[in-house]
Amino acid sequence: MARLTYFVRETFISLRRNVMMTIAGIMTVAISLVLFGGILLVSATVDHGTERWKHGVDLEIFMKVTASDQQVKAIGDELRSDPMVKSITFLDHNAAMNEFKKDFANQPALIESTTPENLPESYRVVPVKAEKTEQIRIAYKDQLGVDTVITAEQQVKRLLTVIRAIRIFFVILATVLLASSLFLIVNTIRLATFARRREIEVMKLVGASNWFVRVPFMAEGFVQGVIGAGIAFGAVWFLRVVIGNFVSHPNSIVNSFRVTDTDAIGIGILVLFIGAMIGTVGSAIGLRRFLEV
Amino acid sequence: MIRFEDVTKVYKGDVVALRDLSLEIVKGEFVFLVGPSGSGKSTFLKLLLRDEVSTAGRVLVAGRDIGRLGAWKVPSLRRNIGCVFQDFKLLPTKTVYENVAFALEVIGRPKHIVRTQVPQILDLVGLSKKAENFPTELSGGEQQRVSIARAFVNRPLILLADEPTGNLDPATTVGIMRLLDRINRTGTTVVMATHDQRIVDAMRRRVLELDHGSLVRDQARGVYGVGT
Repeated sequence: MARLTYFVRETFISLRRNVMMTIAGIMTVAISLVLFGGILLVSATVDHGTERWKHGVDLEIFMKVTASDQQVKAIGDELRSDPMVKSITFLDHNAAMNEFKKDFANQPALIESTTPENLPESYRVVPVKAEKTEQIRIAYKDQLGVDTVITAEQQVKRLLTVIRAIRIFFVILATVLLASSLFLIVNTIRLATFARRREIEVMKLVGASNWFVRVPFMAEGFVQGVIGAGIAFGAVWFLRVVIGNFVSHPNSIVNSFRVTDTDAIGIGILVLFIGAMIGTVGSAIGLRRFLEV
Repeated sequence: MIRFEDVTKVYKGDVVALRDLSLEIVKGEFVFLVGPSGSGKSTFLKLLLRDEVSTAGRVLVAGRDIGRLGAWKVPSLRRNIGCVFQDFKLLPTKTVYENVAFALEVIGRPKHIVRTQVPQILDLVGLSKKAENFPTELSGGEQQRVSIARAFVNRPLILLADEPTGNLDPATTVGIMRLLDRINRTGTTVVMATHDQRIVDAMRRRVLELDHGSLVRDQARGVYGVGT
């Protein structure tokens, strides 16, 4: 108990002593993590809307719910031997149910009232060339047992490319900023150890354990990282609400996109974790020079 | 209590600080370590604190080879060795009481121990009335008493003093030596490095003299200059 009081007191004295450096450290952690968390959230949103169009899938052929097994199999065989088709993935009733659950995770009542048998089976098709998409659609749309064929819209495809570029840019930016926040924390801790070098000298002399000397400084870096990450967490949550409003607008071209609380919480936890790591690692590096026995 | 076995210490650039030093100091002894600057006195003390590790030979404290001590065990060694310096090394932002209490707090002693031990030790060094003063408000002799109190508050087996009277006038020096003598009489082994001829002559204790890293004299009831 005496130790805990000591650690808490020492940590906050030190944080106060270097107020400007502490704020700078917190702000850079916050800004870099906001960017990082933000881009993850946007990516997650887009991923939900475009899941089926990944890995070169350009069209999806939905069978009628009433289609017989033979009809389903016949379409599969035909697709496999079709020279315009590069590869296919078959989604049976259960796979369709899984997709459905993900798509309507926010509406448990709807999931409750749906059984796998009510959902159509489908083939996801990767054409040999994107230009063949329309040709394939026409070839299959009226076949026996086929309900409908949907194709990836050009808009969505273009959006995906743009998002990918933005994502790379932001991840690089966030990484650079995270690195600078690490340096700032290292520096803050160095200043703190320098300001207290006499105390540290005495502590080592009277036989304080290395951990005892280190903990207040580690805690200082940790607190900075976590406060910065806390701010970022708040910002990510705010962004989640903004995106939520935007994509639920009925006329939006992105109304198939969704953002879920699970995404926001997961990203928030990741952001907090990174913040804590940056703080702790930063102080560990900052401490190395002064604390050699 | 302390045992050096053929200890050699070579610093970077082939500077030989100690050469084949062998000696033994038993529990409860009071030993003066004398010799000119650069003779190896400081290295001797640093080896005992494991601030440095010997290049060859063994240094044993209470039967343990401290050169082979893991880094994490060094603190427990230092808890058994009190240390006093010429420049006191007191913390200027803490009061006399806090300076002494600090030594107990940072090794995790509980509050009730701190509350009983610190006043006791301040009484021993004669500074009970100055407990709430800051080091800058004290004379040099008083500051050194605080530093001795801090070194001794944890009741170490060994007290090392590196030129503890180097900054003090003769009258104050006598007081400090009386205090060290008192601490020695409680059974604590005291090793004191000094240049002060008068102290050594007056105390008539064992004298170890170093010169260029070698032991040139080991006299049971020695004086400063004789024998060289």
